Amino acid sequence: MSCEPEDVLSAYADGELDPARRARVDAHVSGCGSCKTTVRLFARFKEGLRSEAAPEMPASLRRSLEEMVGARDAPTGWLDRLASSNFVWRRAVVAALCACAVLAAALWRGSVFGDVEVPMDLVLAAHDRYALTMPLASQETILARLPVGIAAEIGN
Amino acid sequence: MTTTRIPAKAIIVSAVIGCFQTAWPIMARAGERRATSARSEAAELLERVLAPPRVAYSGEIWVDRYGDPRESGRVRVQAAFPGRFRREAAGPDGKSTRIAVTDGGAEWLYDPSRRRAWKSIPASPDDKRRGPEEELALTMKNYSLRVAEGGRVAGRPARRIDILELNGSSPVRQLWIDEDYGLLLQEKRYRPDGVLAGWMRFQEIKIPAEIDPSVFQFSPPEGTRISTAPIEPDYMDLPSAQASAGMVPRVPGWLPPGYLFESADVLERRGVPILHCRYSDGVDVLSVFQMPAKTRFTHQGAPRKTFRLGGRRARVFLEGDRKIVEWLADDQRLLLIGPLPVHLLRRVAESFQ
Amino acid sequence: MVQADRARDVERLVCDYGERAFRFAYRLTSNVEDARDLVQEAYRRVLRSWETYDARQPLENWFFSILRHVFLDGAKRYERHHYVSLHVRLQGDDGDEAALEDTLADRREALLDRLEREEDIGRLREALNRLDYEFRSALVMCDMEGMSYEEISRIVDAPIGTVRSRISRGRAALRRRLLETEEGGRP
Repeated sequence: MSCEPEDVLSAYADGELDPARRARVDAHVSGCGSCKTTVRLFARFKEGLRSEAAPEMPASLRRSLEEMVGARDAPTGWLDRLASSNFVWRRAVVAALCACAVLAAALWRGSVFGDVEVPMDLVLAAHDRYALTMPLASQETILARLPVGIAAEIGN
Repeated sequence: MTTTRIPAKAIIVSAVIGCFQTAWPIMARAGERRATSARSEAAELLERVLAPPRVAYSGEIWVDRYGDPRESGRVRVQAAFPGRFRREAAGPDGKSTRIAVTDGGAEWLYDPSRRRAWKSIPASPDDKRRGPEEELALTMKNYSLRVAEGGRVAGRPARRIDILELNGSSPVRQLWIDEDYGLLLQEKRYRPDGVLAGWMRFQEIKIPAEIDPSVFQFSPPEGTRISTAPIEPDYMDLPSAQASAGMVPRVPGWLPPGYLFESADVLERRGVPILHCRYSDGVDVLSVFQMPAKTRFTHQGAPRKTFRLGGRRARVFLEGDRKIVEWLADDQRLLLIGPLPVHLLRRVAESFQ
Repeated sequence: MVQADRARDVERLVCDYGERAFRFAYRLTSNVEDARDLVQEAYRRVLRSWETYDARQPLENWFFSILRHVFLDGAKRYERHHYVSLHVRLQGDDGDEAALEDTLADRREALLDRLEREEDIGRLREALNRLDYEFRSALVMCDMEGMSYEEISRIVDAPIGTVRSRISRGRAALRRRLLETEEGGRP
């Protein structure tokens, strides 16, 4: 009885084998100690990793995404105060309402873009950032120029 | 005397090192094709200066930019292989105004007076569609290189490379390279009309130097506001850029000799896509920006000049050594940015029509 | 009616999918700051063609694009952070273990024992963080996000066979690292 290759055992642990193959591996594993250990180990990895909790999405990210999707004129003040509260559900509801309302408003205005302001500094920063990637980018430019982090911030 | 605005990315130099090791054979072939040993010598010297020295060094650099406004400054620098550096720009009282520091990973920029820090990851030259060795091959094709004795800079013997336009008599760039370690000791950049535009030189240097590695570590002090720079730009081909931007890229009918398309990126400004196409000749960069006409282009100061283009008015702005030409065509706004003379940019703009 | 649907889509895109995308990004990077940047950048890129979004297409497709960008940009960030570290590829996971067959089997069983008794779970996450991006992202998607091979294959744009192989080699690498880093441990 020859053992199954590890990638088959791994797919077996994931339930990703077709029924015929799965049946064969079932039969083999029940009689083979080392393959059984491998499958159980891989399954244990799955459970161990799955159980890890991830932190909540930061409020700043949520606001940034809402802004991107069209919440340009999001009301501040009462929203911010609520956002800093500990009640996750309230935040979610408020954020959802905000996004809907503002997007709706934007659509009624007839254009999601409106007349968006594009500052010259933004395109200059993009040009400079690229120019700095040239092998012969001049040293004095590099030393004197605003780093792209700052310049790009003007665009953000 | 105005203070220099920050240092940033000569790190490209250290990032290039890896790929440039393999580029030497390519460079040698480029030299041979010319069939003059003087050119191969220039190529070899160029290779040396683009790879950072393998010893640590420290010193003070003076920088001057002869634009409008004129800028001057001093930068204290400490660097160690691989890819570590600390650069502090100092004000007239000697106190640091900006500190740029990296330990080889992320790059920090710190403004102690405003308690602000920016963290960014430098772009890798490998991401570009045209890698450093190809870019240099383009340089060698579009410019002629001359090697000469460089005298002494900051007390150290140097060789000099002059980079000239093919039909030019005076250089656009001059580099002074340390004989022993290949470090760039001095660099001069000239305008197309031969007038000096920028100058960087080591006033004093200690190489090799003993540097405490803790010098390259940075921890933002308590109360510092930290920003992270956005992820690197894309280097897309035109079809991908078109799909990403939802706009058909407009390509100029004419470009100054030697300029080739390298890559495109799509920026975003409050949901509006901005297509950025980049062209270079191995030394200079020409950018073409394309965006919907329904945008408000804001700028400081009035345009330097205007000219008629396709029944509308194109505007020309000057920003340091860069010229910006902006105009509306059909339902789009177009911008050209580059260090080229305005009459050449105008010719490029007209070729879009 | 259509506008209300779109507004609802927007809400889902930001609230529901935003949360999921952030979790995914966090699991790839173990770092809130990087995760936020990845999600922002992914949304930026995907939302550029918002105007051309075909409402008949499931929102899921959009979401897959977002995850794909997170995955790709995550790779770039990963490379940067590991710029100076030794990038040792684990050689022949099958090859050099043959010599120590018996001891190996015992040690693997002992490891399984400890994991089943929850003793080494913390080290599991640490070990994951040290894997190559290729393996780590595959395991994050399969084990932490619970995605099928098919879904993963769409995100990383590779054939299912490749996905299966990366997951399997990733687990072998995890196992190897856990065994290596025990007290006294050579695998």
